[in-house]
Amino acid sequence: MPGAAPTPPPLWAAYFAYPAYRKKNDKVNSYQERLQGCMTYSMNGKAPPLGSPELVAFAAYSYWLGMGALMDKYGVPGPVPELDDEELLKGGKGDDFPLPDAIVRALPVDERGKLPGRGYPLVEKPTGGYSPQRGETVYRQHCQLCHGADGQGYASAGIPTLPPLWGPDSFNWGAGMHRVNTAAYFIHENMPLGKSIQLTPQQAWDVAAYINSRERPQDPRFDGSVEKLRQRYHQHTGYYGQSVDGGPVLGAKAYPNFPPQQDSGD
Amino acid sequence: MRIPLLLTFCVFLSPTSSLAADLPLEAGVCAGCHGEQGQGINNLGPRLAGLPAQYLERQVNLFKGGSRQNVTMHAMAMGIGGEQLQKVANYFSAQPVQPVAPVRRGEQTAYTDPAAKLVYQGDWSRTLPACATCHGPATIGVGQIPRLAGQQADYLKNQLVAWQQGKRAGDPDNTMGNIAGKLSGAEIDALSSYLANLQ
Repeated sequence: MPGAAPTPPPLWAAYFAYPAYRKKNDKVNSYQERLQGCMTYSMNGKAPPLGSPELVAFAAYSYWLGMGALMDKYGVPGPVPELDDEELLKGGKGDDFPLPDAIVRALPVDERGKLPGRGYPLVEKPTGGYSPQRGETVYRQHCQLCHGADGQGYASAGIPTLPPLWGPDSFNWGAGMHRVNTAAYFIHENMPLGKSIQLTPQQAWDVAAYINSRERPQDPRFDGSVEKLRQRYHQHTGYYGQSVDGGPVLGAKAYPNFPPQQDSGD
Repeated sequence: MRIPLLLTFCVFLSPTSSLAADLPLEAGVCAGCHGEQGQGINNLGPRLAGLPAQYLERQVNLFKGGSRQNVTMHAMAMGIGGEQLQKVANYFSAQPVQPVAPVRRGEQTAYTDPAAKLVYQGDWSRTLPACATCHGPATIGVGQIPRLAGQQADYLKNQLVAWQQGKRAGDPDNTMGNIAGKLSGAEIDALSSYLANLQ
């Protein structure tokens, strides 16, 4: 079922991890706000408004996947109980979230955010650090067949098919994936798709650094100063506001947010 | 004796058939088994039309080196290389294929046909990506990744079985060897026929 696989962080594990505080916007986020984040940052798009039918549908699907799995696991019979939209949009981590007794006993609120698949398995940073330059070699060997020599992915018959990893159509500087550690975890666990080979932690960190040391769409929280934004939101393992190998400061020539919808050719 | 006979047949057929006007001389020998427009001939040779030129070139080189095994193709591949091979690959790559209506992700979410489900959704309980993820919408091909839609069912089946048995190699990171190894015989049959009928 789409969204159900345990390693590319599943919707259902996230459902039971919200509401929760996020550093990203410095407040407690409901599940629907977290969903908006996927679209604002990772998809570099425009999120449907709070309470919209689209967010209700995402939340319903996430809840149904997660609740179904928990009911199976804890032997609760019957169909997944229905929730009203308002409850559904908050997420499953609230104190008063309606759950069958067997599940509440097994999974108190504090445990719910730790369902298998929540977040990525950590891959320790190599002791010798990481290098975009070495990462380029990894990229040429293992990634470019699908993501393109220029990292721009591919479209087929006008339909975007294999995703770009940097440049105007990629995730933006506010997406979690722009962080070298997050991308390294994701890549190590999920790439190349189908896992015909396993990259080493060093390869995963290096290639994550390569991909993330190139220009991409602006962080939507940008308000005119790359340096201010770097200080406020980018004190982590990313390249925003930095120059790599004497190149221009990343973020200074970032691509626009919310680009008009268009299908690009090959 | 079957293979030498087949080889003779291919070589014999090409000079006597009516060649397409723009068929390069070097491609004549291919046309015997693959058709003048690379449309493929059942039980003889798969369709080459519309496949990426670099992919075709690479396959010929894999036959040469033995990563792909086929007595006829090994012999044929040994006779061509360099610019000649590029010319032939470009010719077949440029030949038209029947358009297939591309399918967008999410247009359909529930599948009753298990082959269709594998093609569009894969099976993540076995870390099996969907065919369409890399081979494109309705598997019409993407970049250097070949089209599957409308390819001969026998050919598709033989390739998946060859990968399973380690008799075909040379794809980047053994991607297809890994995928074929996770498929059952029944799934290979069903997938091959499903993809062949996508036209």
